[in-house]
Amino acid sequence: MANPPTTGTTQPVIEVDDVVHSFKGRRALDHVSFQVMPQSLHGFVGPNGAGKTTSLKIICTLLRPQFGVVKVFGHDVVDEQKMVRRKIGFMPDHFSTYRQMTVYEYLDFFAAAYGLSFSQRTRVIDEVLALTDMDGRKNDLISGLSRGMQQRTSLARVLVNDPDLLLLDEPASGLDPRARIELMEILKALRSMGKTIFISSHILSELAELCDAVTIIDRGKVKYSGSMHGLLLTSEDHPAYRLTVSGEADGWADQLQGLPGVLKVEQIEGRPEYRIEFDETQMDTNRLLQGIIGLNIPVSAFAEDKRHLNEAFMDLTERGVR
Amino acid sequence: MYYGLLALLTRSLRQDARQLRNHVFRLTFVAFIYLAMLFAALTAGMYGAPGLNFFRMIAWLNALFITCAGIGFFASAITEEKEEDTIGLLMMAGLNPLAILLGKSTSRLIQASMLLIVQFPFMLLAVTLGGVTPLQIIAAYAALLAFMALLANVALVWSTVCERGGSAAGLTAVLLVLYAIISPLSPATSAALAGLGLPAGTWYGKVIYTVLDWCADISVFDRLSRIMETGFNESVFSKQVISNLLGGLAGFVISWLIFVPSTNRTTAGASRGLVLRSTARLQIFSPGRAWAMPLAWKDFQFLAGGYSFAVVKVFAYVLLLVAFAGFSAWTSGVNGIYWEGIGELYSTCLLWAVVIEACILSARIFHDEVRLQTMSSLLMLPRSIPYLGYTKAFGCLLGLAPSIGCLCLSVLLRPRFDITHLLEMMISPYTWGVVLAFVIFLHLVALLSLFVKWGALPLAIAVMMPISACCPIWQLLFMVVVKGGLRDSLGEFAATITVWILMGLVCFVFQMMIAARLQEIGAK
Repeated sequence: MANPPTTGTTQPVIEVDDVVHSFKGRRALDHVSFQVMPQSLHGFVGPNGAGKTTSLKIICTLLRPQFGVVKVFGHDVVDEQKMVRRKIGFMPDHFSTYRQMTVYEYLDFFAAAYGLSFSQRTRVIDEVLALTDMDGRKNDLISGLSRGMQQRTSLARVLVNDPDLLLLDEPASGLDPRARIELMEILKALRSMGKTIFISSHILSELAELCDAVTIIDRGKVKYSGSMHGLLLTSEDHPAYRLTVSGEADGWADQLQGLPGVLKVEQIEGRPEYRIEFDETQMDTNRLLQGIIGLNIPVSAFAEDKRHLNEAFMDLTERGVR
Repeated sequence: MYYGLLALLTRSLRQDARQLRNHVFRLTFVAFIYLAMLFAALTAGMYGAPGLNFFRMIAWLNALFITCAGIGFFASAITEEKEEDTIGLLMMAGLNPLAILLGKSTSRLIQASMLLIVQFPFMLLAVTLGGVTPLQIIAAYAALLAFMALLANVALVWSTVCERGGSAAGLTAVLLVLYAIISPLSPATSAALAGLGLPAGTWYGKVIYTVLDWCADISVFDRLSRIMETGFNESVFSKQVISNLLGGLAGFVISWLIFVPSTNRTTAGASRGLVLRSTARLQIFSPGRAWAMPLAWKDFQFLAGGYSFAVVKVFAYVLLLVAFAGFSAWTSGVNGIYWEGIGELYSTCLLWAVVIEACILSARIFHDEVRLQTMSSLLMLPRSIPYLGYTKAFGCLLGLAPSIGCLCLSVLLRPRFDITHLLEMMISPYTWGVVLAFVIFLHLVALLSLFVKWGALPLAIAVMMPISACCPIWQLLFMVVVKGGLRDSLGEFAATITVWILMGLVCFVFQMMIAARLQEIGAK
């Protein structure tokens, strides 16, 4: 199982090691292990009932793992709950809000519950309201807000204690496309502020665009954990590129096969597209492109051959009713 | 049209018939009656009219259960849909207001009536024990059914008007108190009006006296008292039965008429009762910024009603005192205000206000967190569960402060207040025994509210009764309290300390159970 790209000897923010957890005899997590590196945006993907929420709840100290060890910033989630809780912010998959409060009262309440002083609270709340673009709605009752606004309020609540790690369980579910895009923009801004974000989601296209790393879990077992780039590559052994030609589609495969270092060329489903796999010890991308141009092939596009996250997800997870 | 009208009602009744737990609950009720009957049969030789004693106990138990359970059960009929924003969905599904009212409220009335109906054949066995006639049993059950119809539909009106179940239950309880006191007040009012010279011969005099005459007979509690009298031989269809059924029908019609405007208003959302916003004119009564003890702040402001509700309560208590004094002056002249009697009645009323308020708060203290799904967020705070629980309880206690304060004042300012009597009471194991029972009851309500969607309070009453009869803790307490050898000051104090220890132990066990359940809910 590959790990996300690390920078030197940086300690992982989350270390999940061989965790097992069952509910009424049904194994929800089956020897799950993965790591999340600092300042990364780590996606957590899996079908319904795969064990995502259980994993998240164990990481955020709401559930005790029945077997295995989970550490957050080096602190054990069972033995050092308070230390862990001070450093994380967890947003559950439902609106966990006091609907009769105004946005400001809600944030003030949680800021006070985290032990912030009066002046600290004033400053922090203004900051998180600005970040989530909620400052114009701070005196509105939460019950009167739209789903998207309520979700932003939840996110603002998670941020009031300035956590280094954000655990977000399906933050975009039920939101309209605009609200989703705006939420993703906020997450990008948070990443740029140095936060580590561990996000469980079903919206794969957005995760592919956003995440540096991903863990795919299915039926309680980790199917992949590592860099998003690594997951989307179609070949694990050799680099592969996709060449799109203009004009006549057929007949180029033999010529491309003749280039030095090229291992495999295949035309894709009769379209004017070729997938070229090459040996990186003999050839690099620049020389490959030069070789293709040298063959007078009318190049329309040339790009690294990547799968869509959907494809990778479908390949790695099993069919069937859960 | 016909199918649509009864669709929700039919579905509710089918669902009720299919759920095993409902039948088990009714069976438990019947089993309890059997046990009570067995006890009555075993002790038949010790008392006269064992059938009447047994019947009296069951009838009053039913009245108490209907009153307590009805408030929460019936008042949440429409508000639970409002709280979950599903009224609009029901309307979109083609159900008209009448169908919704039938499906949500009348179905509950039928379900609750089943509890009485299943008892009826078994209760007739009381006749064989002696001292009670079939007419008394039929009259009592008719009275209880009519009262239930009234309660269900009055609660339905408030459930339609209010946005939250708590408000609807509170207002229903207020009306119920009025219902209970209107009956004894009516004859006095009639006499006072006659004294003031209101002629009985005029048409308006006839109307007023007839209404007051009927008001004197509407209470189920008075009716049950009369039914229990030996030699009862009145018609089953009494004024109480007729007036309660008509009142229930009126309540249903009013709910139907106001359903659309009320629900349209609520779909606009966003209300928090008497709690003012910081942008309101009277900012002083708004919750303001969170305190250093934020959970206490939250529960005081948003669960117990906050500053504005505290002011309203104090104002209401002062008004109540003025009303009592005014009534006393009206009936006996200004110089004849009977302050001692008023003081006693006023203290009793305030004591009941404290008890009811405490019960409602204990039913909501954790239940609201479950309903709003906020438990996981609270558990994620770097605080322990006991800290969360105790600070929440402190917030509720602050909410009770106006009522407790007024109660203390009413006791201290009574004309014949005796400090030594108060001190004696404070070290009496009897007092602490009652306190223990109440504290355990509050814990039980809070615990049950974590398991049931609604009705923790009536369920706690239902659970507490058999526990009171069977639990060894109570037997021990009873022994400590009534033991004759301990009836000197030192012995009493020792008994009081024992009660304190018992109270600490029992509360600790309950609090452990509550904490475990909160953790479980937070992790769900």
